Amino acid sequence: MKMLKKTEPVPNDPAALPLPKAFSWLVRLRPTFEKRGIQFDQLRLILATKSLLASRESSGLGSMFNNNKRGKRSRLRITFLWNTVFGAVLGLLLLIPASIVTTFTMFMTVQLLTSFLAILTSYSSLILDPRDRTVFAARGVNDRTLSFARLLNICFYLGMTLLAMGGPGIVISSFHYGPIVAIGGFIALLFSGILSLMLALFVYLLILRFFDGERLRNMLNLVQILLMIGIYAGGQLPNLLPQSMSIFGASISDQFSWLFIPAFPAWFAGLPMLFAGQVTALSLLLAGLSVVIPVAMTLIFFHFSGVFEVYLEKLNQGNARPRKLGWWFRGISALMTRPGEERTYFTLGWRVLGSERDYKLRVYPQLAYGLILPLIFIGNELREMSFKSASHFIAYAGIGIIVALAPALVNLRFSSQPQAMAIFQYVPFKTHGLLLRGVVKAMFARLFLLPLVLMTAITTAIGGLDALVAGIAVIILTYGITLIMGWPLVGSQFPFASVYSANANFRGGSIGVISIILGMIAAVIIIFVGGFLGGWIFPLVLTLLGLTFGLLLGHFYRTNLRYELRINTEPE
Amino acid sequence: MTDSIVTLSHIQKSFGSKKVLKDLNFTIAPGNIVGYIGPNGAGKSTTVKMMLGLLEPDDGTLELFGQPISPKDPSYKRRIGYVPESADVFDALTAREYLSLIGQLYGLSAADAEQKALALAELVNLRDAFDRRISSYSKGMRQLILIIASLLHNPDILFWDQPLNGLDANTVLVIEEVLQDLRDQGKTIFYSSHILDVVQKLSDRIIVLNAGTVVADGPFKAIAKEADTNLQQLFNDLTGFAEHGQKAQSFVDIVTEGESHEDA
Ligand SMILES: Nc1ncnc2c1ncn2[C@@H]1O[C@H](COP(=O)(O)OP(=O)(O)O)[C@@H](O)[C@H]1O
Ligand SMILES: [Mg+2]
Repeated sequence: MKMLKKTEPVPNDPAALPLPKAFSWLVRLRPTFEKRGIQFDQLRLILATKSLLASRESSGLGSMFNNNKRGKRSRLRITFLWNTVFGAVLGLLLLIPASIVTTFTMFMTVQLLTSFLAILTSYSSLILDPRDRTVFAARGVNDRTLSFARLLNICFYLGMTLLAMGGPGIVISSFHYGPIVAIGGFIALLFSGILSLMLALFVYLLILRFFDGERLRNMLNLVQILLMIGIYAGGQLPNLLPQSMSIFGASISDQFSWLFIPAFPAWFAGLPMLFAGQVTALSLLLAGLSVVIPVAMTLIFFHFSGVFEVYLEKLNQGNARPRKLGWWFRGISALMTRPGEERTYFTLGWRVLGSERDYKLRVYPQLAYGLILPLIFIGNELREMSFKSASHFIAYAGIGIIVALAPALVNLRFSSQPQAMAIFQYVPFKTHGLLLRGVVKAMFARLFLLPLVLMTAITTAIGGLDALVAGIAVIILTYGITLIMGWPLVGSQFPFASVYSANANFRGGSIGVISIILGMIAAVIIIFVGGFLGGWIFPLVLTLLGLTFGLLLGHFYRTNLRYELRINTEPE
Repeated sequence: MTDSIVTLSHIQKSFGSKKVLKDLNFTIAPGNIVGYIGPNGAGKSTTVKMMLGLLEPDDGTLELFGQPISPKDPSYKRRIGYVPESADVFDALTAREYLSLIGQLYGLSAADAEQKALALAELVNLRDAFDRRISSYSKGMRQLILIIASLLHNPDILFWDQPLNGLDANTVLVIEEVLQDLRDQGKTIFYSSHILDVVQKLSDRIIVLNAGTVVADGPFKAIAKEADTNLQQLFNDLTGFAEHGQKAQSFVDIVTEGESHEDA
């Protein structure tokens, strides 16, 4: 027993469950909370437990709470640092020589997308954890308290993300526009964070209200992706104004227009404009909206927060009828796998991925992000092009989808029922690599192939043969890259055999951020080079690259891959 | 009627299009051990979850301690000790941390909760594992943690959903005694189990649920029609299950089918 104690040190006074330092300010607000029907002692216990749990997971933002764990802390720093690097890249948007409303609209569009993405992928499991109800609600914690505790927890993580992703941009803006504007930008950034959180919460609230079972899950995924597209579209709306082309290439007009009202990412340019001394109807309107709407949404949400907890129970509901595997599956599996063992694993992977809510929550929004991000960076170029050459460009932009590759692969390690994989421990199972290859292929087929094929179909319809060639090249290259990245990201792991942890996304965090940056750079370079080269040579090179990777690695998986068949039912 | 501690009337509950509980009615008087049995999927856990406000009935009323339960005021839960069916505990916590958390949620001080939990754990041989993470526990050990967690605050009524899951025979005996002693102190115990000889022996009253309604209710002696029957037999009759011999035969036939084929 003593030995056990040594390997697993218990905190000084484990039973006391003290409030994490980041939340100590709450104590002063105790009377206010209690007046609002929040059970303060219970709130404290929930926050303390959650942070203790988070710190027990070997990595992730959670370890920020417990400063005494050196190893974990440095890993956290690395994640934070990578996010900051990414933030610095995003901050460059503010250096584009254009009006404040233009640069900040672009910047805030990306910030909104990024924070929204973080909420959907990393914190959704905090928001939508129906297990809390059994532990807390069954012991007399009221719904409002539970809901508020969740919210506080998420705000903490979200704040960290905003700081890393948006902070560098704000610093850059203070050099470019002066510190006053930067302060305006910082406040706007905070409000943008509130807006994305509230957007996510309202979406969950509405979907949980109106849907059940299987439909509920599908709607969650669909609406998340639609919202990401909505954020992008919102940021693009002001570009539709007729004056916008005339000023500076593609500057947004700073004349008042009603078009700004639905363009919500543009709202957050309002405060920086005001702080820059541009007191106009437009800046007042935007600044006003950027403050009033998030605050109003927060108030409304608090009104409904109790109901939220009740609806959450629905996520526990199983769906009785499994969906049949359709023609799309049959065609793809025949195309991508040989009959026999690999196809069995392909089918397994396909089915598991189809039913893993956590997987979808974490990965699908990243996919949408990967499709949208290149468009933000090349939006200006696109606007100056003919419809036809733009379609050609967009076909190449499909490469941006590799942004989603790292999370899609890393998350293949997890499942909500890792014990199910124990079957491989007691049947004679030797072909580890085939299992992995089947699962990776199924992932590619489910997640990447369909959007790429759709995109190619659309661009081909507009752009003709060139766009078709580009689309096919992109599909084959993405496939090759999937196999390459599958190797380091899941290669040594038994797929679907670890339980999800709230922070699992950050485990692949630095790899994820690297791949986002690489993906963006690749997309931008390829888009430009591709645009200039046109014709056959460039797509041919991409296709050959993809085929080479694919064939070499396909073989490699089969012969060289071994991993330990271990089930992790505890968050690593 | 006034002295019933639990009253369910005309409770209905569906999940999607599946009707799980159809018109469920019963009342429970304090100071009883009530066994709640039924086939898998009959709706036992659903019933218990509704009493804890974790699920809302689609229709009907549910009263505890003479009051309809209300999500606005969950304070009645302090008088309930709950053992959930699935071991939804925070695995990464130690038993000390987890039990302290639960005790504090019920309003005990950290010190009291911990002390009481430790004393109880010692009695069921969990002292050594007390500072280990629950993830390293066996099924039976987890179950004991859930049982202890439900008793820390000295509740008036116990809702135990399959509390004997995974417990060894000796521990089951201890738990039986504990329940009887608690009953003698005036506590009410409402539990479900598939170990029917224990249910038969232990319960003052047995409620049999089948296909969403109560099909038998009363002390074992009263619901047993013949004198020499046992609960197992009765359960089979009540749930319309008679052909177990034939089912087993077909089962074995299928299992051995391929084999004899190859041998031939
Ligand atoms: N959250 C849920 N979503 C969908 N169906 C459920 C849910 N909970 C229970 N059910 C269904 O309700 C029925 C009763 O379940 P339950 O109360 O757990 O049965 P018991 O505890 O008697 O075995 C089962 O058919 C089960 O499939
Ligand atoms: Mg049950």
